[in-house]
Amino acid sequence: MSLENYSEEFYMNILGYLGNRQLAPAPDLEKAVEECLDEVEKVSQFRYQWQQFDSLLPVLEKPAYREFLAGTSGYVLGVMTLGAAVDARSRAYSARDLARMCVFDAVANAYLEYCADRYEECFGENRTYRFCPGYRGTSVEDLKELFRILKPEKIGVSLLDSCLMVPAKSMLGIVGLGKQARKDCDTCALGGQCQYRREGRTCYGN
Amino acid sequence: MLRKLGRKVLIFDGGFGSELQRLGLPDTCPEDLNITHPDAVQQIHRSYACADFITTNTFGLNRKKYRGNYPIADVVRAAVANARAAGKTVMYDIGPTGALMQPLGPMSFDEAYETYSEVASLASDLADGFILETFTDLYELKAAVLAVREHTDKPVFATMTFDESGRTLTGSSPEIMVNTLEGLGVDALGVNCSLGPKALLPIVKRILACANVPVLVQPNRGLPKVINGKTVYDLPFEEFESCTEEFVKEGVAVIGGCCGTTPELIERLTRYRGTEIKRHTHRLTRVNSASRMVQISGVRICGERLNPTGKKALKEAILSEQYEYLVGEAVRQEDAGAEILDLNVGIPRIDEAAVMKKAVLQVQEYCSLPLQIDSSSVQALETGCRYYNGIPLINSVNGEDEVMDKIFPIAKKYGAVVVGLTLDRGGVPQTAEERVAIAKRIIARAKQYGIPKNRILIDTLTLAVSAQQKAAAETLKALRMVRALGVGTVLGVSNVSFGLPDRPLLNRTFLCAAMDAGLNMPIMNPLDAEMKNAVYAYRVLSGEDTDAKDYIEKLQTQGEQAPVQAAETSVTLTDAVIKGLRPAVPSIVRGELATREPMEIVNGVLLPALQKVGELFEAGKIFLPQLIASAETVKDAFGILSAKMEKNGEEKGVVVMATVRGDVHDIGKNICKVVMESYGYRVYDLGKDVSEEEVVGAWKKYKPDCIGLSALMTTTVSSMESTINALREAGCTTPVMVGGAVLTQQIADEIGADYYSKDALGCVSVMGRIMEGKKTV
Repeated sequence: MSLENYSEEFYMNILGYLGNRQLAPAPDLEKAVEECLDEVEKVSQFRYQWQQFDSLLPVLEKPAYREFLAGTSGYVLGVMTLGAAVDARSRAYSARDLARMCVFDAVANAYLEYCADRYEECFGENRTYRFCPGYRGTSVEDLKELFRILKPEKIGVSLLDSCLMVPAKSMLGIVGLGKQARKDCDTCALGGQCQYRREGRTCYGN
Repeated sequence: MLRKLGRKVLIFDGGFGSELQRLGLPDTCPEDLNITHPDAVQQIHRSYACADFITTNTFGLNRKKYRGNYPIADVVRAAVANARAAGKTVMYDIGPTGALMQPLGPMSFDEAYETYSEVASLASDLADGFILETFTDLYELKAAVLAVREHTDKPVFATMTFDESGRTLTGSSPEIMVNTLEGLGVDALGVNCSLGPKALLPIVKRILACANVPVLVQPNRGLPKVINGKTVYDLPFEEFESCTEEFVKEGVAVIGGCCGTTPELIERLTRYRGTEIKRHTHRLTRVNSASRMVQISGVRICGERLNPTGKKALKEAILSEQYEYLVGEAVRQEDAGAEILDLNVGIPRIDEAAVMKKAVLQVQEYCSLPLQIDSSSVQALETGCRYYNGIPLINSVNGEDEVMDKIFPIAKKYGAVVVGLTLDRGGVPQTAEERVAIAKRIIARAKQYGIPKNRILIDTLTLAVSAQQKAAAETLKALRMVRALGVGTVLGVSNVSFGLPDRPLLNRTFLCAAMDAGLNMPIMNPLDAEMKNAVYAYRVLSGEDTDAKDYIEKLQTQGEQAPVQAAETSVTLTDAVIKGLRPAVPSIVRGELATREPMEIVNGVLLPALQKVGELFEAGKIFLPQLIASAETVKDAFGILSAKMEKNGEEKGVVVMATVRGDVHDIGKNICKVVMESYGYRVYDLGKDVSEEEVVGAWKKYKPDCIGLSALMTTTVSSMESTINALREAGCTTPVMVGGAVLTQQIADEIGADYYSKDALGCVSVMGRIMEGKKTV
């Protein structure tokens, strides 16, 4: 799909990953984004593995998770990934054209978010945004227990001791069901002290 | 039972997890149930007694994954004893570790091999065979197959999972899996888990279309649904059965089930037991990497440039273990159109096997082409084949029994395609007939080792026409005769022109004559466009390139690139840097060199231009890729200029860089590296997930002016701290600079770093301060 089939926000996200959202990119950079998007779409093997829960898992017994899930009827715990081929392509670029790799990486980041958002539509309209361990008041260490529960090896995602997920373009998120909630700066780890806000924007749309 | 394998349809058992659920047993650590609930486990095995093969309850039993309460040896014994209760052939089950292999994840090939060796040796005397199943990474599966093969002679079955796109999770196709596993000598191969039976059918057909060994299929009972937090498989039995019928018709030898399948379902499949299997034999010459398969028929270009003979820079890179240079040569050849790469690291007095291992690992990380492992050292050949993620070529054997007896066992074990040189102790025979006689000897000897003709290529040897003019005709005659033996052919084309003017012309002409005589794999320089184009043109004339599609596309691309490069020669070097026009650099720099000294160009043009790009970036006027493109452009220009400069003084300083242990993200570090290089620093890049010891070792070896450490996560900052501590304990006083997404000046201070840099340009300014400080001391 060409870039014009995606939302403005998707494109802004890519530019954000490239270090700037306020600048109109030069035509060759825009072309590089288009080409990388085409390639990311082709090599991605998007997968989303999830389980639904009604009660709070012990590992989520923390004020931040509790607050996030307050008023929900349950929640989905999911791991999502673009797969190993995206990492391989990115590595291949790193030996050829680092600038291209940088664009490819930014596009892949935005594309993973896009695919995940699209997939989560199957959980119905009454759902929250995706809350990821590591957000304010939570720790990436929580991933260890959550990985033990979800066992996402089948979709090819594993967690290193350092809590990094591999393949690199992978996420673990929690989506609350039965209520709507959008991201806001109060629950963010950066608490509004970020480049988006400095530019008078937010990462979740204004 | 195993005697019938491949002749009559046999039945495997079905899902284990769903049966545990049915009995109300906990599934937190199913392997431990072998000891805690042997009766229940035996009951499940007995419920599958209708099958011919029973799988032990040991899927996750390996030291990387198992988190149970008993010694692994005890669980292995109990599991096999439990499976025996069904009274059928017991296949010891081995699943993946769940850890990802390097370079994607942290697990090395050796670690994977050791992990599987442990269970293979424990089970070798107990089980009747092994089933390696649900693998998603062919490289991990290769480690597992080798581990089992090296501990037992019992049959090995291997299956992988595929997704809807027909690839494994690490991007291998069914054909690549088949070529690799058959090469490694498995007794049956196939697909399990993944998808429901219907969605698997196209994948199974592709497997059957190229496999010679029996094919095994164990689908899930459809796609899983999650209902109330529980995974449910509910494909109707009838549908599963009708798909199975299709599998059997197509030639599948062993059928069974995976997730969600039950004893009732497997019982229904037993009606296919004993069906005669009809299959065709496939005799293709194929080599492959993890993601690319090359069939050696028609003409295939093998890149010759990864060979230090006569290449000073490559020799130096190998001696100083700067694999980056090797990787650069590899990707340049791949991008230029090579289809296979010859890899030779032979330099006197080095540990060639150790260097070959590193070279193979590095090249396959960045380059997707199949490799030809080229060495006169048997040990280096074996090491190269072992660590290669795929099926390589081996270059080479010759007609000497002693050589063949050493190398054919390696080729057999790793499934390699072997190049046989038509020479022996007596040297290169003069006549074609004598060379063909040697080729016949090689083919016959290979057969004794179980290596069929399709895994042999014969090199009829190119000699310099300047020395022996008649030799070229004999080489071509021998080619024709060898092809008539039913094997493929190889020639190192460029040897023909030694000692004569305009070598490319002779090479090209000889290449055309050789292709016409039946040459399948010229080993040549793919960067020579005319030579490469001669291959493309020949493929049209021979009919290999249908409708000249490939020829038109390739020539068109070349035509599009040429004017761009020509137009760019009109831009200045400053413009080229600011716009990041890398292709324009060589001609502009050469032009500049006509009027100026190299250092003048560096100080007067390159650095000011780069400075300007840096300012634009700082001011938010350009994007990160533009900064990187400029830095790479300057680096290219440096490469050309440094060759012209005196050896002293051009290097501003030396930096060792690493992403610390536990961290596999290295984009930021790579950006810093290229920007520092563009400013004239020599950077030794240790890569990612680098241990404390390796950093200390590099400090001792390279005596850098600064050590740069990168970490992306809060959790890996601790590795950064331990690396700094290790350096200090070793007596290192070299300044340490740190950076990465989560770092701040405060954290840098806390962990004992000397400098913090927030980005790539920051690194340059830190280096400036360090080098300035050195000058004033």
